[in-house]
Amino acid sequence: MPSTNIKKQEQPTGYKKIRIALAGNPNVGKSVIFNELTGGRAWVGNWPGTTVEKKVGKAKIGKYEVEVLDLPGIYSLTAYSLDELVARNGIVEEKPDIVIDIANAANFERSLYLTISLLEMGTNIVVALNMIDLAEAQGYKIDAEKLSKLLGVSVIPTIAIKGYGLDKLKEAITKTPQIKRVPRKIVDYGDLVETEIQKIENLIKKDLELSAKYFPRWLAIKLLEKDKDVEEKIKSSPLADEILKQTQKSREILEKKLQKDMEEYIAEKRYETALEIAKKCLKTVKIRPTTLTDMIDFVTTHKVFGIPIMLTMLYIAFKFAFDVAAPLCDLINWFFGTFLYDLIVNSTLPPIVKSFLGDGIVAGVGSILVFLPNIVFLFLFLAFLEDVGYMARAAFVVDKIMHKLGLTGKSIIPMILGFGCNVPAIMATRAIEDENDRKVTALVNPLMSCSARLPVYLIFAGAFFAAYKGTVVLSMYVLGLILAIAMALLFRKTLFKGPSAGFVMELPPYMMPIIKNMLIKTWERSKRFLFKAGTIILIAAILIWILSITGPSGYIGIEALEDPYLLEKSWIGALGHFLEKAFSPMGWDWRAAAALFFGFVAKEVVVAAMAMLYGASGEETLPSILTGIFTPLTAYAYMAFVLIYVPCLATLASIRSELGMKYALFALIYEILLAYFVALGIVFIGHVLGVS
Amino acid sequence: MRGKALIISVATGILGILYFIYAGMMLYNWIAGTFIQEAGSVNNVLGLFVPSDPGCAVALITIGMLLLGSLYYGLNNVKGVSCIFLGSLLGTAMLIIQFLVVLANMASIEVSFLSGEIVEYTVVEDVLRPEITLGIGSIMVLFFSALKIRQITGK
Amino acid sequence: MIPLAFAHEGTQVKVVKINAGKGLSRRLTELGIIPGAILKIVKAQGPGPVIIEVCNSKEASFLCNSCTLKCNTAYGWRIVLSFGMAMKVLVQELM
Repeated sequence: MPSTNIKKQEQPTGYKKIRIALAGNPNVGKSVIFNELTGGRAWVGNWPGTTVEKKVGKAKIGKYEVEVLDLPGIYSLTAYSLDELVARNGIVEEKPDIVIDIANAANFERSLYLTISLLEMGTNIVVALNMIDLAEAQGYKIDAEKLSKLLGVSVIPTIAIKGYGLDKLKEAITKTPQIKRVPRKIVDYGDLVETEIQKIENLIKKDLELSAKYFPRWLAIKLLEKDKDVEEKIKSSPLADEILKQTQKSREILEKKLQKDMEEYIAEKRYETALEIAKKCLKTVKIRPTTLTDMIDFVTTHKVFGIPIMLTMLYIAFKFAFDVAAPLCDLINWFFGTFLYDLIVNSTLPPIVKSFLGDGIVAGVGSILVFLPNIVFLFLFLAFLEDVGYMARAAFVVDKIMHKLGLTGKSIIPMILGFGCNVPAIMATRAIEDENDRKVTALVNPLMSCSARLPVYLIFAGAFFAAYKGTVVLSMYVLGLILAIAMALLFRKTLFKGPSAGFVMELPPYMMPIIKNMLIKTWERSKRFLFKAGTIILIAAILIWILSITGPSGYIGIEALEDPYLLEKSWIGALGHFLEKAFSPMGWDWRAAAALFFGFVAKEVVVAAMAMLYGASGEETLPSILTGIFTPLTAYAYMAFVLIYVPCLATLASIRSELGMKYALFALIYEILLAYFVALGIVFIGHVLGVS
Repeated sequence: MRGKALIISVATGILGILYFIYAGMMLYNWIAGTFIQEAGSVNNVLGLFVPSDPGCAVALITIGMLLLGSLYYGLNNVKGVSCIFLGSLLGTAMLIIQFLVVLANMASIEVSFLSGEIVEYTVVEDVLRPEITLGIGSIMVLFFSALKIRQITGK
Repeated sequence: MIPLAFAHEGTQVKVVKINAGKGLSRRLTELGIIPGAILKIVKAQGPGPVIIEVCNSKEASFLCNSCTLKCNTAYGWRIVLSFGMAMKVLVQELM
């Protein structure tokens, strides 16, 4: 294949523009290098048509303006995993000038497997051999020069965390650009297989278009491996039939002669090559000492200590996220609820504008922003645990129990997060690999009683169960937990059947986390929550505001927000009356029903809505009013309903962004139904037991 | 050297037991407060205020378990040192968090001044808590275990 | 020959066969768990996930301090396999 020197045009500014991509196994320090190159500024989105994250940043290296594309962490370039497929196609479609293959010196052979896969694809790579300090601590060194000669590409030893080697890496980037290398044969698959590869390759070469886009040898090998994605790509070629027929023939011959499945054989040969190259480059070896990681792991994965330690970490996470962030929440609450609100009320704007700004926008936005400190702090602590390396151990420790509950070890984090707020909890389900496990975990998550529901419980429990307030509130949490487990088991046995794909997880050595990376990770996640939840809630708040001041008879006026009699005439009132019929067996009146509607936006709004609807002068007088409308039984049923019915809008938005609209709607529907029947059941059982 | 090791073992043991005791009281407080209305709560033991926080109790039990566990394995043993290291580390973490909570509470008071509320806050209640006082003991144990670790891993 | 899931903690085993579908065995291959590889069982507590260390199946032998087995490893990187996965990896216990 001819080598081509593609020269890029010089930009008027004197800067040449190139594009690089970062590839590597998970946990090798890819994010660190990305941040070092781009300063952490990145645009984050999704690869088109997928939920896989795409991160792009800009850097100035030498005379070049560089676009840095962060590929998902992968072990190889198969078509099986979405991440790998995305990375593979990303390299082919985005055509980066260089791919930086970040290898882990402390896990050398495994990294080499990916390197070899990349070279087989004909990618122009520079190898960054990271974590050489860790390797040395394990007792060995890698001869980077030898590796470079064997692979035919630049190899730069680095310790990304300390910044070591990054200058040389940047130098290598500037020296390697844009020259399309002549891909060579990296793996020798044995004479038998090589002959067949040649046959297929020759056919492919006849299609000039195809050969220009992909490296023919790579295509041939992938075809033998039954790579579905490559098969699709071949189908668009005029020679498709010939090529596929030859592939079929070759495969049959080989599988008969070698008595082995081609995929397995090829993967093994690749790995063997990695081992061989590794052997040639590994230098000194000495006694492997007990590391700090070994010692800590002894305790964190201990049969007895493991789970208590995990619970302690969670306790600390919560304490940090809620108690320590509290003043910031109070501040935001004050800012929106008092400062801005008063400012608007006391201004000289027309009343309707005042109401729109005050009751609509400020109230709506405020109700979301009040959570922001909690979420940021929680994310920060979790980022810390992740970067330190503890999370993997936590998942390991609870896996057995979670399995019995229809979930997986990695579900524990979302489940616990859900007790604080369901929004970050749903986002945390991203870490679960198995599709079914992930969907189930996300769908039952709203049943975990988030902190927004607490005010509702407290008011009702205080009004009806004064002496047993604590127990009643606790029972709500327990009910939520039981329902979550029950639904998880049910889902797993019916809608999301199938054995859990199981997981394979690396336990990286414990490392001191880099503050900068932690902050960047936290910021990215919080930003997403803010915009996703923020926009939806804002729209909903405005909508509810409109529905409160207008009605079937037309515009009612903003006084409706203060006057329950007027409110009854609005759309909200109409809705309440409409729902009243459905709720009559539970004995809830239209006001209670209308309050639930407000709770759809954010559950803690239910209390304020009830105060408004029942004409309570404040939340303090509400309990006494409530005792006239509910009985202890119906009140308990109401609390249960609030627990279960529809996830709050922000949570729905998260489910939609993680799983898609279909599942968001499913969550909506199943929860309403569940809530209705549970509430009904409670009232029914109550009557049967003779409780009035 | 032998004597020193003995002192440390005893100190660790006492610390561990103290953690257990306070955790136990916290649980009692919580159970009493939540389920039984009349039972009184143990609020002040040995000069330390005991909240009724079940999560905190779990954390303290864990630390106690680890500290006592280290004695079970022996302090000259990799396993024992691992236990004592992690136990004291968690104890120190609890102290730091509680300290941050105190700062946060003070900040909250400032914020409520903004809305014109005057709130009373007794700092003492939040400071004289087992997490903090026992936590100080944990820090000392942590130093010791760090030394031991250096011996073992040679770093 | 037993499934990895039943191997004893603290022992060394050699991988004999992998009974997994294409996707899984490929994943295992990439992590170094291939027929012939030597694994050290770091944690195995009854039916549940297993923590293993993949030992280099070639030369370079030296001792780990944390166990008295002769382990041909140059790594401190460990892998957790879920119970299901560990059932699909058949191994032979080594002395």
